[in-house]
Amino acid sequence: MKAVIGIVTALALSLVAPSAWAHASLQRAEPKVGSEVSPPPQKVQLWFTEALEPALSKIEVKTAAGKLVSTGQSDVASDDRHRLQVGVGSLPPGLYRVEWSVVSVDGHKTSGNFTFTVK
Amino acid sequence: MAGLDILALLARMVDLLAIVALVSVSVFGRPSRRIIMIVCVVAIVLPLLRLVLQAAQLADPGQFARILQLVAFDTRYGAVMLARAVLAVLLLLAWRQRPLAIALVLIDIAALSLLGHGAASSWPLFGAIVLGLHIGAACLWLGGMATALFGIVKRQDGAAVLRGFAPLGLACVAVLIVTGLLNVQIASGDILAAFAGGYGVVLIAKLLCFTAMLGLAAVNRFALLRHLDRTGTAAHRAMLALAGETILGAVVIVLAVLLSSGPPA
Repeated sequence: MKAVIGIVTALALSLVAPSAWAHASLQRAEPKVGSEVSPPPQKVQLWFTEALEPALSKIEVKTAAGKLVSTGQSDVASDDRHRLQVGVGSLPPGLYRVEWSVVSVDGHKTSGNFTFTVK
Repeated sequence: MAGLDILALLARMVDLLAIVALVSVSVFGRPSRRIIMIVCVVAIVLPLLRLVLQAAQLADPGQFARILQLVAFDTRYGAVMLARAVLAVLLLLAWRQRPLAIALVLIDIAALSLLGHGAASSWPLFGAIVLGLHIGAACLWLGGMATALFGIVKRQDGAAVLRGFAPLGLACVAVLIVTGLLNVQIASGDILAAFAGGYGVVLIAKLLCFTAMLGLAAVNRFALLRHLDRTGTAAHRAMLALAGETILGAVVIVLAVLLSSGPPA
């Protein structure tokens, strides 16, 4: 009987346990992936499923022609280690490509990219 | 998978086996100075090797030295690996004082749990505690078995270790089941979905090995232990069952490293 109670308790606990999805994946972005925005953003912010290592995580924002438009260092928010951001200055209308490369605190590296358009 | 990734996986496996050995010698055994030396040197070298391999995996060509410095001194991974190497040095110096040695091994396991997926989640403390309990219970179980096996092979006090270990082993199994379920949920977000794809195959293999280990443990506990002092046949069978359990335990560690290295399907 104790074993049954133990297993049921474990299953119940597992249902309410948090999920990390094992490796940092992009959860959401601002500007949103594939979006058309106006006015232009002052910075690009990305939220990930795992906490990030600031020293090894970065975002680069480029024009369609490949010119770097992000300014300064990418930084992980001090109040939320899941959020990475970088400034972009003043963006004229056009298509922009966001390239990100992050290392989560468990040591796993992931990378990806997406575009957004400034109207 | 690149050669570097395979090396990193192997290093993680040997690292975990070294922790089992540390638990075995500090909690259960009365090891010789030579064995302690070997286990501690492995426990010193492996975290440092993993640090170097981690930097090599992350570095672009020509950037290794810079990335190694960043990983070592600016990341949690580096802090944990350097701390673990220092802990192993302290253990080498203090292994005669058993309470201190046990405390150092526990700190080592707690440090390692800070590098799990759970510690990177939204509930990092909960995730780290769950993983720490899982690793600790696994090391106690495997360490106890390995010590009992060594005792029986050497005709020392294997039966006594096995008897004393039985209640602790049962507690370890209970902790492993609960924390194992929680770890799968933390890693995948959905226990049932975790059984899909390649991740699911490894998970099922790990569960099958675990179940087989439970079966062998039950044979030892209920069929062989009571005859262990009286007949050589029982000792021989117990040795075979323990050897089987220990080998399966090593396979479980290999599978656990594979699970923690890749995302669920």
